[in-house]
Amino acid sequence: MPVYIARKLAFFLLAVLAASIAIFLLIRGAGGNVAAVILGKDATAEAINALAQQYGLDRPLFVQYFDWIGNLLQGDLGRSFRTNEPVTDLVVSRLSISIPLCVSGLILGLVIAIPAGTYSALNSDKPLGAVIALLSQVGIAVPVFWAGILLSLLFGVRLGWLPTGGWTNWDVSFWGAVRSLVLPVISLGLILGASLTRYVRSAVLDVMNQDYVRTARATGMTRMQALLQVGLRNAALPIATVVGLQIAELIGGTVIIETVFSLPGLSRMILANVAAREVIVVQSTVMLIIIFVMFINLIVDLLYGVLDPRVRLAR
Amino acid sequence: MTLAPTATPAKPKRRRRRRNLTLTIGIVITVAFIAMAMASFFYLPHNPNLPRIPDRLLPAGSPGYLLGTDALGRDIFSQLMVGARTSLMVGAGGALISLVIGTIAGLSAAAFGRMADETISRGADIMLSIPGMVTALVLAATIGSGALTTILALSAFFTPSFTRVIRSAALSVMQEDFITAARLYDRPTWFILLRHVLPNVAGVMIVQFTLYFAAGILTEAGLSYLGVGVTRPSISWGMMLNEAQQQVGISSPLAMWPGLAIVIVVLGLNLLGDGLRDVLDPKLARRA
Amino acid sequence: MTQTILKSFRLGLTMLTATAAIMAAVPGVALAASPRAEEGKMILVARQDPGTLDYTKSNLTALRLWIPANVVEPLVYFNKDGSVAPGVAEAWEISEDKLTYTFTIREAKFSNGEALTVEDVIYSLNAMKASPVSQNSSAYQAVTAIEKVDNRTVKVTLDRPSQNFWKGMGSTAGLIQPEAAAETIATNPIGTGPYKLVNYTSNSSFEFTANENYWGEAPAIKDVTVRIITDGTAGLNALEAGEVDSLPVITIDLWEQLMARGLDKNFSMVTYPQIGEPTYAVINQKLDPELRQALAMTIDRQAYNDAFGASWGAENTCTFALPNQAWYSPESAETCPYPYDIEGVMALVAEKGYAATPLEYASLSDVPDLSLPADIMVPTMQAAGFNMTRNAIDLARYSQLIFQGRPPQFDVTVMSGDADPTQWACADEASAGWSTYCSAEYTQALADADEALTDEDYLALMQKSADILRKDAVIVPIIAKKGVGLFDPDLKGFVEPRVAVALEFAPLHW
Repeated sequence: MPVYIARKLAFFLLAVLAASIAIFLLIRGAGGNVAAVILGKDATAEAINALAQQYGLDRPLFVQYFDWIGNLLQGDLGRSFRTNEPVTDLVVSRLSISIPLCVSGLILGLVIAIPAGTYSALNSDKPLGAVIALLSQVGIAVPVFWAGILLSLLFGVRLGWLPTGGWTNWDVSFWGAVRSLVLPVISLGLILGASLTRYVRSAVLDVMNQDYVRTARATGMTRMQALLQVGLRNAALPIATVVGLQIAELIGGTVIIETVFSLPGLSRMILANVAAREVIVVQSTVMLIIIFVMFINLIVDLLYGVLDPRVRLAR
Repeated sequence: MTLAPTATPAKPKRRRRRRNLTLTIGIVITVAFIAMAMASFFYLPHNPNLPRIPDRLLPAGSPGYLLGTDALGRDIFSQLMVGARTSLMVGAGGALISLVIGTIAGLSAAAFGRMADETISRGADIMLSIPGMVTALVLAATIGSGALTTILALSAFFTPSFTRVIRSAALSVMQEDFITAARLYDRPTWFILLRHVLPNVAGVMIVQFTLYFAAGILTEAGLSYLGVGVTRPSISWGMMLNEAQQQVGISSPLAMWPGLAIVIVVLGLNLLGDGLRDVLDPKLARRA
Repeated sequence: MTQTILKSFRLGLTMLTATAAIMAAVPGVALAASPRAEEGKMILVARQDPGTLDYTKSNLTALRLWIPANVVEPLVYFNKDGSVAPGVAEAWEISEDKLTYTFTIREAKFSNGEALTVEDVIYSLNAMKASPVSQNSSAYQAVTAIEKVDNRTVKVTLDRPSQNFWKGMGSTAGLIQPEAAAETIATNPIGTGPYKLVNYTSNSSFEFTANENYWGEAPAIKDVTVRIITDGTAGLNALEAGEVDSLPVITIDLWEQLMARGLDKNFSMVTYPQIGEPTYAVINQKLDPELRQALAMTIDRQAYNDAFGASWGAENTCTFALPNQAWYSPESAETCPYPYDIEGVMALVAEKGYAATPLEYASLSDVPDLSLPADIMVPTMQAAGFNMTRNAIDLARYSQLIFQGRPPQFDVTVMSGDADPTQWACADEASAGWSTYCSAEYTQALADADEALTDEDYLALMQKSADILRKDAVIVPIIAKKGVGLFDPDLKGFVEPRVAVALEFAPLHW
């Protein structure tokens, strides 16, 4: 067991190191620099070079890498070149939007998907089951920004029920913040709902064919009873894993919804900073996301190892 | 809800018929889509990029313009035809590159021991955790936005998923008796992979390819909205949808055509993928 | 079963179409009086996020629209009628030979409560003199000394008369900041203006509130929010929904849409040239002059104008200027040395064999009103027979591409920006890039204009510089776009910008 944990930990650290090099090279490979972005299109080459030098961007790449990673190890994520704000502050303020958005979007998605997916799996031969299956297919096929903008037009412009976009911060008005999150959460929830419905549907179909469910049904349980009492318990862990990873993925991946609704969330911050070549901000923020995702992976691996000895001993 | 513990004989038949229907709709849409893309090489009503300002914003059904024209007087139907070609190229290209790399990586992870497996799996984790848009933006910045960039970006998004799926499929094949038998005959690993494992994961590969083909078309539309998708002279449906939003607002009929095109084709490809899954791998049909 | 599926398939598509149909059918909410009017607030919309508020380093319009005049004031203000009003300087004296400027600094406080001192003024002017933004530093080319005379007086000495210096003191080059707060300028610039910045969240909003230490009359509206909405259509939606009170700067790509939606009728629309921009093609000066001229002749100005469907706000022109500048004139036979002539170009291309020269068109992918010109130009140039490829890149890469070395790595591009011929001045032949035009004749004309002693001479000489630019087919103007803004009908008092492009909040009132 300790060997298993040690091995997993070692791979975790190695992977984090590899990821740091990958993300560093990726963003440095983009060309262009923040000095040119700040100074604008009419700047002279000398002015750009001078500013880049001031920011230390003229140093050899490996020096810059070790400088960055050294600070990172001491918990210093660096600062924005343009505003001198610490990256930590930026990330924390953006997470106060991204986390509520992603978590509620995911919850809404599950609230739609679990009953819909279960129903359509158990009733695939009834019209409603087929309609649900098809609606989820259509839902998956609609481009995110098209759906988002149409929702914003309908509820924001035409009906005037909700803001068309924009962000009211929590400390300004709690309900204002909630209101500005409603449409983005609905959009995100519908999209996730559509794809999760498909996932839940196949998961339920799969569980229903397992021996333990067959056994349970042989004892006289209905399909629903068997599913709830025996099936769900067995399906919970894989579903929890998927949900955990989904949150991590979403936090960096809701850029389109954030753009449609003008929300200053984390993924839009990353997008804007890539465009501005704020290399330190991008490297550190993406690194945080990567570490978070890998950490969840590590925990899941360890949990599986603890719960299921076969995994630990396999191969 | 019936109490019958075993399925009535009618059910499998019905289900099979529905599966066949799913597959049929999928095939019909996909074939029509590919035909449209191919036709664009031989015949276009108009040059889809050449502006004809006096003819701008004509409604559908105007003489000479089946679906009308856009803000620069370019024929929408011609653009949809060329857009089919680009969507085909981008979606299939992205999925194909991911398929090739993902198959090599997935099979290697399954066959070459613990170190290879950990390295490849962690590598896939890293790739999955870098927000996809960052990769796309960086690529767009490095080599300029366009169809090639989009294909590369899609490959970067999709490869880790292909790797994971093919790895797990290969792992279960590796436990089958005939593999053990082949090993006993001292067959080299690469031979076993090519001769025995690959044909047995081919079904998974084809299904995965179809589904990610569809996802590629959708992702390209998203990239277009962020300004890093396909650029003219190439034309994609996502780009047309975004241009409509920027020029006249997305609720206009100008947005309707490329939007519907995307929905129908993505739907068709997904139905095809699901249908194929049922046919090629009945066991997989019930898994995700 | 089959029918069920087909039915639900159709249902799905119908619902999708129906959603869009509802958009058209459901009537919009009736425009009520803005709730902000009662509260002494207003919300404006910006299209772009500046990322930094350090106006000494950055000259992005996204920053210059909001910070100067509202938060940070220049030494003086140039009014629309040509008169000069006091700013940070309450009085000034210009020597007869125009070589000495003496400014009397106002007794005032910065918004952070600190007193405004002569040292702050000297610091600010020196910071601008050293600014990497050439538009700022070029105002100081003739300046030899910036000295303290006494606790309220600053003297600036020039070695030659300079129009650029005096104009600069009423523009960003003359903005005065406290030396002690220079560290935080990028997120919280401080000044003596009627407002102070409370908060700036990039990609989201600016929050301003009235500056209680302001030396002048308190502004009518106390709290101002500028919301950043990058998707132009989304900005129009917010206005139509009554969530915001004004889109003071609307780019040309949205003009047709705002008319089609009738927003010009429900809101008061202002047009003003200061925030307008000329759109112009830049042709690589290393190309053969005849090839440049042939390329210039593929530009169909009327087609550009029509393509945006907004001829009310844009005028065809061959002059590098805006309608409020004296050296501006609309497109005409006299002012256009290379008028549109596609057949003529085709003949030229065939005759000179230009098809053999590979050409590259660099287009900015992330700026919608600059990718549309490429959509028109590239196919037209190809149709004329040029071997033109399009290279679409983002702004950061674009900037780098341009400075990768000389000659620039592109042959044609389209830009829009300040209509100021001085920005093409060639300070050093060796460091010339696409944004400088190094012809002896042009450089001389600009230097002469700067040294002009009277306004008439200055205008005449600037006209001459602009003419040279145009004749040489390096900077080829296409259209001059007006600044266009939409305001809530109850929000009144808009004045045209005085400090470069800055939109002043203070005159606005409900």
